Amino acid sequence: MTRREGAALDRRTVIALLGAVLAVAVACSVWFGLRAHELRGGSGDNLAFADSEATSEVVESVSATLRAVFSYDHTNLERTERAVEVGLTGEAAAAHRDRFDAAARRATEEELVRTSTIRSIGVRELDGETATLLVFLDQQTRSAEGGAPESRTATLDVTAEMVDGEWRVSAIDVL
Amino acid sequence: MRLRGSLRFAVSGDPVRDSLLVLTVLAVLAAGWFGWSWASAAQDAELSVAHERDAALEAATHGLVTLHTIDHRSVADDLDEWLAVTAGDLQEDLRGGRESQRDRAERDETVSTARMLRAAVTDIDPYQDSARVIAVLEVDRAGGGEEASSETRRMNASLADTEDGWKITGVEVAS
Repeated sequence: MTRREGAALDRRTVIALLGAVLAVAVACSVWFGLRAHELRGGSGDNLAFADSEATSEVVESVSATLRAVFSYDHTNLERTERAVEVGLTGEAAAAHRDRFDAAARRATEEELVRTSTIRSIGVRELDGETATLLVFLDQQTRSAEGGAPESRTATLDVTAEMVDGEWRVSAIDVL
Repeated sequence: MRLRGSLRFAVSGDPVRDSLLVLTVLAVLAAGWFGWSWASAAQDAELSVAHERDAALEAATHGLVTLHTIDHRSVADDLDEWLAVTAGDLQEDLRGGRESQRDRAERDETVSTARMLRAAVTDIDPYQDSARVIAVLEVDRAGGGEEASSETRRMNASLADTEDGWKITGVEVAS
């Protein structure tokens, strides 16, 4: 075997070897990349329950707001108005004020006390700035005449936004 | 110099071999990076909860729609599906009530279909493999000599993460 033939063989072996390593490395990159993307994509953008602290915070805040804005006492309607000022923002605030005017008139006339409680609440989506929640609300209304309280339930699709470090409800859709 | 020495060793002056070498080195580095990215995503606790949350919600959506779907013409298959989306006590109950459920569906010529309007996870415990979901479904029913009806139904479901994935272990109507 001449030196020339040896070098040529060497070159082929090296190229074949490099080619094989290259192919394996490219295949691994694609595979690892896809798996990482699968894990991080979609699910990962939504922090609901993944960030348990932020989830509890938005649940507590939105629950308190909804309880307050959907409850009223004909002797203290200002409390509900204050809750709307503090807890709601944007579209939800405007819509609620319109609805509350009518409810407040009826509450005064019929001496109504309405109490709302949160039956169930689930966070559908959460990022640092906005959250969407599904809420089952129970309402009981007592009138001055006494008798059995009138009960009803509502299903709400709620959007909340972080404003100045506090969660404010920005949209309430009744399903 | 040492660096120049090793460079001279690596660079052979053969353009094919040299470019292949560069490509291979880059591909191996990329594979390492993607591999690290995958490994860190797989060990990310937040991501894993997010993943389970979405899996539980998907199972609840599919499961609740399935449990409201029955057609007297395909009743055996439909009831098999009921068993496939449930586990635990609920599955036992459904298995036990299978005969009477089938007889009733055939007698009344029941056709029921459902559509999920909204669903949200309210609790998830990844360590106990359990979750709770609230949901709003639109259920269309016909049969039993009655007029076809459509109703919106609010449900609470509990789920467990089994070997075959998330399954419904309890359902109740949230009046």
